Amino acid sequence: MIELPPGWIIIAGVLIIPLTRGLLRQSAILGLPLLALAMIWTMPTETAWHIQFMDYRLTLLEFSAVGKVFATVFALMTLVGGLFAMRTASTLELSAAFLYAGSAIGITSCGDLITLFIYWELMALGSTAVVLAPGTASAYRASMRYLIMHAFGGCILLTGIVWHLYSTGSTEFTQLDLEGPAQWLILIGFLVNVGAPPFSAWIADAYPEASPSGAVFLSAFTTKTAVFTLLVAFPGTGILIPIGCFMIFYGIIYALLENDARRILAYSIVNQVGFMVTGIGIGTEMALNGAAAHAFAHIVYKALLLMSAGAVLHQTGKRLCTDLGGLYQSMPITTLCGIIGALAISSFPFTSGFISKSMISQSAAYEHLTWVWFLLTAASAGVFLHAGIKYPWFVFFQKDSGLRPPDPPKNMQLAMVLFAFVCIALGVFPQPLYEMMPYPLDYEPYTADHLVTQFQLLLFAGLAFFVLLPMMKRTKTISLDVDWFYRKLFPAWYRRIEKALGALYSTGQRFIVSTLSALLQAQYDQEQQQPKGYFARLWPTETMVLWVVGILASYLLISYF
Amino acid sequence: MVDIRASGIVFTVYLAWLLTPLPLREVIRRSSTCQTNSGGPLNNDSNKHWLVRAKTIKILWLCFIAILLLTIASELFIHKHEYFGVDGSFGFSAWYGFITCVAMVVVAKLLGTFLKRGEDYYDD
Repeated sequence: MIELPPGWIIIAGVLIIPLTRGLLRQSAILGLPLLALAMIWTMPTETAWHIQFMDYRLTLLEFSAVGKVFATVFALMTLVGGLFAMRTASTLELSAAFLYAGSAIGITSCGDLITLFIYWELMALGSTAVVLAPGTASAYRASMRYLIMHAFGGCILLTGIVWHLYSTGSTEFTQLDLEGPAQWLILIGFLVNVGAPPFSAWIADAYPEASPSGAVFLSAFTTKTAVFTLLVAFPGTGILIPIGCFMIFYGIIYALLENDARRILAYSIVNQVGFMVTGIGIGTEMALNGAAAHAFAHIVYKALLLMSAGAVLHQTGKRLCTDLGGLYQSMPITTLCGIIGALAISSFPFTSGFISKSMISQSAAYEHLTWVWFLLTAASAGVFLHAGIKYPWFVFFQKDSGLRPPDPPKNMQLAMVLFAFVCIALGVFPQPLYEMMPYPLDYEPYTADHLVTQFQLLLFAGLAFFVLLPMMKRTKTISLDVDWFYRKLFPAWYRRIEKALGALYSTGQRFIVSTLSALLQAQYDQEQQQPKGYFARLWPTETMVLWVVGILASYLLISYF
Repeated sequence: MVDIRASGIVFTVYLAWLLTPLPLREVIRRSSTCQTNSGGPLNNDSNKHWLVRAKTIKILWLCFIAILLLTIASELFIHKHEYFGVDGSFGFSAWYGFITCVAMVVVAKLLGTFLKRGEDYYDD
């Protein structure tokens, strides 16, 4: 096997997809991720590729165990996302998605901070183009806000990396100690992409504006790549625990208030990534395994959920819960896949979420982090509330909206069924996933204790949903978030400053014009109908002769000295 | 032995749950809306999808309550680990899950009064 970074194989799709049509393109969309998967799995562990770039040694290829976990799920995601998208997505969206996915895989296999930063920015460009791809005005504006946010995060990261290089002389991408501002800047750069407060709003702002298939790609890569970088660089960093817990409850609360089906799912990305960030903050081997396993499971079921929401959007053209409902009658496969995704995100037993998320809360219990454990447990119930029941209920059941769209095209159905299968298979046979984990793992999720408590927790959360259903009634509203500052307040300030400057300019202009004209008026004799000045009363030729005399006289004077 | 029995119960519960929860909620919705239906639910019930007929919903609703009771009862047959004291109390997950969910919905509702805006809020 040629030892190239597998990400490059996917990035090659950026050139291949626009140049091909029909069957050739479809085989590229499916073949490239398969090839990348094969490369990831056949690559010998000691493989490394270094090059010298100016004074720095760049490591273009170096797989750690955790890198392999993320690379595998990213490649799998590209494959199934491509299958879902290939008939309906635009050429721009598909190429952009391959750039995006390829650079995400690149990050999992790079060994130095400079290469990481280059992939990081390529990802930002690719994902912006995915948001932009539908070509609507709202998608354009959302993509520009998204780009600005990521350019901002990228600047912070770049500053951190350069500072780190300067102070330590090391480019290596490995565990970093928070010893100075350089490492803090790198951490903040990663946290912007992970959706940490106060930078959570961009996820729910941008993702629902993408096309049905675009949102599926978007849900997988940016936040989870950031989880990967945190996992490598900052395991066991205490500050991540409160940040993660905040993200968890932010996601739940905002998802409960939301009406747009895909925005509900976008908020629940923040919620789920919060679990991973908390796990990284706890930092024990089990917690880190839990974060990695949960990222793997999460990418699959979140993509499944967004595919089902995307299928509904594609078939009905509607995205708001208030417009949907009763779709189970005509879209049985989409409904079933949506429910399986919803059960998996809620960590229902025999689904992938059950075998991954429980490791994180279990490690909180082992470490006797009391309040963390109680928050995580409440949040597990809350996930069932906001995503596990709310999403399928309001989209597929609820009232009968009268809509009777059929299930989506066959390729979309196949993509959903594949991932639904993965959700169940991982839940029933967790061992293969456990064996991929970076640290040795001795964990048995299926104990009677765990099953009973999880059923109690989730089913009573379900009861709470039914009891409070009148309070859950959807309203045609959006919710204010931190993005209010840069979408409303700052533009308002800008407009106010612009108005003040405009007023100043026009008053100044008026003052100058009126002063000048008053000056001119004063020099004009209205009664005589002539100017008052001596020269103005002469003929132009007379004036000219006078000036010529003056010039010649001064010339005469100058020639004397 | 106990583990097998408990797992058996739990698995049955799970299977039943897979079939039940969806139309169940219809009961509550209907209990609040059926008075406003002009013909009443019984007149046109046979035209409806079997899942949303009043009779099905009633059965499913009863099943759900039975399952809830079962999950509580099955705690008698297992040994629970406790790490913090209160999490070892009987039916902890059940009441903790219920109460925290109610709290989250109420908090969301309260925050919603401050945070909610019309859909066209950001459109200039």
